[in-house]
Amino acid sequence: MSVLDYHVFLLLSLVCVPISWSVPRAHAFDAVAGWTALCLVVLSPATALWLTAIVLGLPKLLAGRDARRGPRAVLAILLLTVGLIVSRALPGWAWIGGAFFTLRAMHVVIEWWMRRLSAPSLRESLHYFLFLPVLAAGPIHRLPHFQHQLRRRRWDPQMFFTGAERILLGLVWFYVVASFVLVQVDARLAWYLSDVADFWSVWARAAVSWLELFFAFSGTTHLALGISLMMGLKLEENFDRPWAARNLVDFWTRWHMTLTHWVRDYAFRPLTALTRSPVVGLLGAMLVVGLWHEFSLYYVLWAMWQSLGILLSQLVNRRIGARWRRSWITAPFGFLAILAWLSAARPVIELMGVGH
Amino acid sequence: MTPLWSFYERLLPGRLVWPAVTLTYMIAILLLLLFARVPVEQIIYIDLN
Repeated sequence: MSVLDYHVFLLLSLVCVPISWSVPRAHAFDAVAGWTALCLVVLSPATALWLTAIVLGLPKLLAGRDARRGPRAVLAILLLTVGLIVSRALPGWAWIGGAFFTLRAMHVVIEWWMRRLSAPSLRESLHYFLFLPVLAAGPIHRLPHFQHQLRRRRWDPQMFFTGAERILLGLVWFYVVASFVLVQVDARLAWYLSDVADFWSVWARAAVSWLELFFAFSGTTHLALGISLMMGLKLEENFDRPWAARNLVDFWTRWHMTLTHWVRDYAFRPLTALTRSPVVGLLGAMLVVGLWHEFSLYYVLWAMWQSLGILLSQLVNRRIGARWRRSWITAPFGFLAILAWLSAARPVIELMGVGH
Repeated sequence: MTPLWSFYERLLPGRLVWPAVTLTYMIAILLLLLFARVPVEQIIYIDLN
């Protein structure tokens, strides 16, 4: 079993910055893709093989004659899903980023199927999938946006230093706030709550782990986007101050935005259109989010709980939200209510006998 | 102009922006040197396994 440390991955990602500026512009991202492939071969040969199959196979499968788009798209999505399931079923092979690049590949296939995107060339596929900074923790950036950024890329000192600043912020968020401060808070809380009933102590500690998750994940997002900015690329944001959200619906549009946008476009909207029921669309979309995190019964129930929260939130918002919207009281209340609901998932699911 | 620079520019007189930005960077680096820890638990959003 081999588990990689994030800081090794981070240091290797930072090497992409000098590579991208030292190699002539026309071949800068060929070199970045080459560096990414080399890192993957050394760190995780299994991922290197899987990603090579996607990088080479996708342009081949999608190129050529226009006929039979549907069956080819279904075949591609099935193969991608099988790849993800196999990687989840075989932990310990040091997989890197399968959850993220599978969704990127599915996005390319679905957009091609809908005729909104032409089949990527081999070189475009290399640049898009073999981009180390976003491989392990996202964002799930889209191909047209990435290509647009590659085309308009130029040296911009302001962008470069903004990237460096984001890296500093990401390091503090990830290595200090999430990995030190909130770990201390969690340990103290565990000690204070040692006499309290399990349900309440699990709930309180789950709330702290949501904050920990936020600082760890937004920290790694700052790092990935900061490195990209230093390379001259402005990729999609993953967070938009989620704790300033007024309700759960608002929260899920601000948290891990590239995933929620993916799920909105490729699960919620098609399911809602097919069934003419937004509730079915919501349940399906949250199920995709849950299973994307982990293939387990816990995450199926987690998806149900979060869907219920969104439905209740919409109901409350419709009935009494309008009266409260302008009040200064709603800001902290909204934050606490959102955190309470999100973190209640763990003790409630544990009551059903399903552990995390 | 970085986001931190713009932030201080909105709050402080012009001559104080540069020292405030430098001080913030120094505090961040000091925090990292003193308190940075490698996470002990696996974080679900970091797909390194």
